[in-house]
Amino acid sequence: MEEHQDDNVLFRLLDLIPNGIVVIQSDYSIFFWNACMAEWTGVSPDEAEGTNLIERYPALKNPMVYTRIAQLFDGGPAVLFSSSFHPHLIPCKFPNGDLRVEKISFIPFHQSTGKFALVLIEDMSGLTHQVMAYREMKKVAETQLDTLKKAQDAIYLANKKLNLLNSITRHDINNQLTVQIGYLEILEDMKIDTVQKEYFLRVTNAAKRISSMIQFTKEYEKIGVNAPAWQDARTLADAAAKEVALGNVVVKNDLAAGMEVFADPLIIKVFFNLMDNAVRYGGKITTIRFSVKELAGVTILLCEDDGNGIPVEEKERIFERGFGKNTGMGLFLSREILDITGITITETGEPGKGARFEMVVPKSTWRIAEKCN
Amino acid sequence: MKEIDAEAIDAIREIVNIGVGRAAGQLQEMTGSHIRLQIPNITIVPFDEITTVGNTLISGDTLSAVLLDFKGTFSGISAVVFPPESAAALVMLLTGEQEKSPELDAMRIEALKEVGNIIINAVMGSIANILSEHLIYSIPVYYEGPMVTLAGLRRKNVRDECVLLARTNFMVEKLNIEGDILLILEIGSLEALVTSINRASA
Repeated sequence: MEEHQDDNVLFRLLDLIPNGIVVIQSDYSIFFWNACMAEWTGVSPDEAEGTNLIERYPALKNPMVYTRIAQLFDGGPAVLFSSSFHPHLIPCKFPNGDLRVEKISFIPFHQSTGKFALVLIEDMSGLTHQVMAYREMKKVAETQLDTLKKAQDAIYLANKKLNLLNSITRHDINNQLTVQIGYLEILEDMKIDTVQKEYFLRVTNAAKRISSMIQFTKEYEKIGVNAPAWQDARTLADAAAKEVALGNVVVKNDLAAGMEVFADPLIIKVFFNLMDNAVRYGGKITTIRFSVKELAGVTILLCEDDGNGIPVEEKERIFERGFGKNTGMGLFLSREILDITGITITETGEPGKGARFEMVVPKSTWRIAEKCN
Repeated sequence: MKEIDAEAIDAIREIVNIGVGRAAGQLQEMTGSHIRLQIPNITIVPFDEITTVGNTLISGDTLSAVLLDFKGTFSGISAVVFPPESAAALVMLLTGEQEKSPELDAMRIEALKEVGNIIINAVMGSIANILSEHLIYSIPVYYEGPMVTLAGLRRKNVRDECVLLARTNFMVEKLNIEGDILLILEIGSLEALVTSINRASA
């Protein structure tokens, strides 16, 4: 009597569980059928209990399924049926009639009255839906990645061909320029009048400018071609300074050792241009100084000099293509090079007191390198 | 490593071999491919050193494993372990999915658990049947990680003890899928197992 009361309490508890729970005996007759099963199948406990589970659900008769369930009552371990292989072994429905995707576990247990198995039916519909959506999303992302990769390869190839074309064209123009300059030298030795001399000088200067531009295109043809990389800012400034005809101008490099910026490999040209321009157009300039400062959490690389400075009306124009006394491309391309990794450059100096270039480096594009030793 | 009686080793190897053979049969039926099975390797080894026995899969950093505890006349862990790539490939094969870079998501892990359940049940069912022993089993669980950690989680009390390790490597031919079927037996159970085997073969 007491045991019977315990069973009743246990079964009432099983009725509260939001999973399908069935208890079967070794002859597969249904001993208990919980409230959740009644809701999911539309079969009441009174209808289900006492009937044969295998007969009620023919999918369980499949030999691949049945032999495994049979092992349960032959001393075997629990048997699992996953939702991937058996989504509707014991069909359970949603109120709208759709079938639930289920996972079923048959767990054996022994009582003094005989061998039993607890059949646990878990609704995996929500998880299945989420996993399927995730897989679909992953597939779309992979396809997009594949397309991007192909586009990237195509651009790389096109760029390579354009560079080849540029190189050939540059070579041909240089050849013609050599011829032109050669004849100009012959002309220089001839007797020409003042007006002709003026034209001669203009042609000669134009030829030199073309030559300079050609050289310039060679130096910058690799812009954006190679992937950005971490580079030591202090080393960049030192290396670029060696390439500039500094004369009496002193370069003070106060950049912190180990500070690296993530930038296009041509960033060294930016450092070169800043110093080259300072020397060329700085007038009274004596010193160029590189340093770094933090302002409201923002890291700024500074290049300052004590030269003539930049007139207010030219502070932005100096970054325009074609502006300037030389090729007119140096600062324009410097801004483009820095922009590849999100670094911005502006001129903030005081006219008459010196130029001051501020390069604002985003957080993700600078770091302090760990020491190797 | 402790010495173990050669006859007892042979008896255990034979009984494990029967169980593993049946599991291989099930796997062959599921995959439709021939399963190449090694002869079970039986050793007694401190629990923490089970991954150092021979050139085994279980020494890998990450494994996908389905484990089952059992208790009774003899107690231990039965497991089927795969390198994660093999596990994913096996599930993809069985579910008929085709994907370039499969990963073991929640659904595939459930599917793998069922596959592991079939293999382990074939092994343990055979052994328990032949020996007419009643064992109590846990619900199978899935783990991912190094073997020592995984097995240790299941059997904290035997971490410092010696165990009997029966390991059988299998390979699903032509599909490059391999795995190990393991039986880790608590050393205190060894005598009972041998007695049980002798009784069954008498």
